Amino acid sequence: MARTILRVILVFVSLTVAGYGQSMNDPYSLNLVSTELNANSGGRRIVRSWAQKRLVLLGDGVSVALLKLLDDSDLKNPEKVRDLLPIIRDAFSRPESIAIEADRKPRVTLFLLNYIRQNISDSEAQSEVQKTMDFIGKGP
Amino acid sequence: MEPQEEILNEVINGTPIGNPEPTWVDIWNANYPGSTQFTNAGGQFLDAPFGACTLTPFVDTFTQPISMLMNGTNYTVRTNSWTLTSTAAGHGSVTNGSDVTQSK
Repeated sequence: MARTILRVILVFVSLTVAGYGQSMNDPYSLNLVSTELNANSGGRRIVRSWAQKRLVLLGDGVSVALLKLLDDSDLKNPEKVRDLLPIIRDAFSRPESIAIEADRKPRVTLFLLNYIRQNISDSEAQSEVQKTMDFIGKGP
Repeated sequence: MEPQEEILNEVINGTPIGNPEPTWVDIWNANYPGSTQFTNAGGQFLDAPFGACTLTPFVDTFTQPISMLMNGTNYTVRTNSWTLTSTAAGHGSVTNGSDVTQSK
């Protein structure tokens, strides 16, 4: 049920993004977020300026990309979850830089993180998810 | 003129991670000091911020074509083949293989 609601939100947000005239080449920044997942895989954390300066534009849009890139099993995998949390934090690290006004509110992201927290068994990963929720919850 | 870039064929520690920006995007970073959307009267601009860091030694390579967007057309002016390396905390080097090299 929650997964279905996520997909409905995803469609809504997709329509919203299209309405803002984002590049149709990669309107969801899938290339950027995909390479970030690869760069951060296996617990490696590498910060690259050319990716950071784009991530800070995404805000809530980062979770739309993550939902398009990852499947349900990924969202229940503690290692994958640890890989994606820094990407979410980066996307909300400079709220004033987020390109689309609607993406400054982390509605999709909080829904996604809440879904992950409820469906992951690893308590350490749950704690990391909660910290990320607390971090982005302090935004505007 | 509006400087744009692509970020292609990035490889970290020998593992390809993809093309972070396979189509032209602005180099400009709105909230970074010195960064501007357009070149100055002399055609110069600052590509900033620029760098990479992590907690362990690494080698990161990628290709960065740079173009100028004018009247809707991108004119490629150069292509950098970047290599960023670090062998220990506080030490690293960056080079484009030709006219840019910096180390600490």
